[in-house]
Amino acid sequence: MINKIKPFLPLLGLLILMGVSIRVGLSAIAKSGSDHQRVSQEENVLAQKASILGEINSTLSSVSSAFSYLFPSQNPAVSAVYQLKSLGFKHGVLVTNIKSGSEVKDKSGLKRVDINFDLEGARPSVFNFINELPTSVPAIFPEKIKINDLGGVSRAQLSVKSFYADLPTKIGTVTDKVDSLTDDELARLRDLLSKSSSSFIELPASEVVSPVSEPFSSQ
Amino acid sequence: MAIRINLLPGDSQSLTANRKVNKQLKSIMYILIPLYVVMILVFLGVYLFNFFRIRNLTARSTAFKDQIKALETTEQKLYLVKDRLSKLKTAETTYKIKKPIENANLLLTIVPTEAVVSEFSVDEQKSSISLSFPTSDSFSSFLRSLYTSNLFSSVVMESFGFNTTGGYLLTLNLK
Repeated sequence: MINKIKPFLPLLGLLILMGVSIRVGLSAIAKSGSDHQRVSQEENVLAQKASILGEINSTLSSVSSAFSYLFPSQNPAVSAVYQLKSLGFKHGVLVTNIKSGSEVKDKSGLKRVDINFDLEGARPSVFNFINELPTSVPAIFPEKIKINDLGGVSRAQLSVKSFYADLPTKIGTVTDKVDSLTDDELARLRDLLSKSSSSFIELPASEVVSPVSEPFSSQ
Repeated sequence: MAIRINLLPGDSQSLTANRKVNKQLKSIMYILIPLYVVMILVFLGVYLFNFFRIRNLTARSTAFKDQIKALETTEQKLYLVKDRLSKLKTAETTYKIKKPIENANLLLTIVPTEAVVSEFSVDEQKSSISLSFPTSDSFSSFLRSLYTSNLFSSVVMESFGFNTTGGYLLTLNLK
């Protein structure tokens, strides 16, 4: 029996070797193919990202790090009141009796501060003032308006709201895709940057050079 | 008559059969072994081709990553600008009285000059206007203009009165 099988052993061995080689070879090629596809996709994303960042670099170089300019990250009540006064001066209306509330969580997910104030001036000026509010920096959105006309002078009571939200704390990784600014976003950015905002300065804490001597010390 | 006599030993017939099988096996091996070598060479070639392609792509990816890291500040700015603009867009969706204010402005242009707008209010639910007209003609002219303007889908008269000093007093709720 063994003698009958003996001549076939080399062929059998070769066939087994071929089978194992085909299996190992195909799986290695399949793996290198999927690796290539993965690396190729990653390279495309990185190339696109590098291109977008290179193109947008000159546009964004003019944007300062004060992103609160575009949308506040802290309670904008003080900036909003400043804008109300500025717009009042611009449109020739008197802004008085300004009252600001505390932080409110809006149903849109943003934080909000509500401000009530009175306006007095010519009716067209009052409406021009109201129409410019949503495009100011920070944006102020009227919620309720009540106008009384008396002797050619309009007196209005307004309730407005101004929104803010925390800055994001995480950005994507190096290999994450980015989208460039759309035409609408670019136009909006340029429009916002062209507007004047309130300018506040922060006084730095004075450095203590030497401790103040104790005036009542017996020494 | 010739008689065929087989002088070969009895088991030599199986030896001949074995030789035939061996010969056939050898021919099969002579075909399979080169095929096997060619197959291995093809596998190796494809694998090495992919290997070098991956290596080139990895080198390019590394160069792009270095470029991106150098533009890290720009990426942060882009991310923050997009975030702020999207928040602003969300805030704008809450501004529901933009259209009522525009309509109010247009409405006030059709109020006759002799009429007096004593009060006008706009909020998210409705708008209302209180006017006084010195004559019935200016009152009816206003109502006609209001009807043809199509500024509001609903106009409800909340109150209507007359007195000798104010004239015709009208309050409308508008939607």
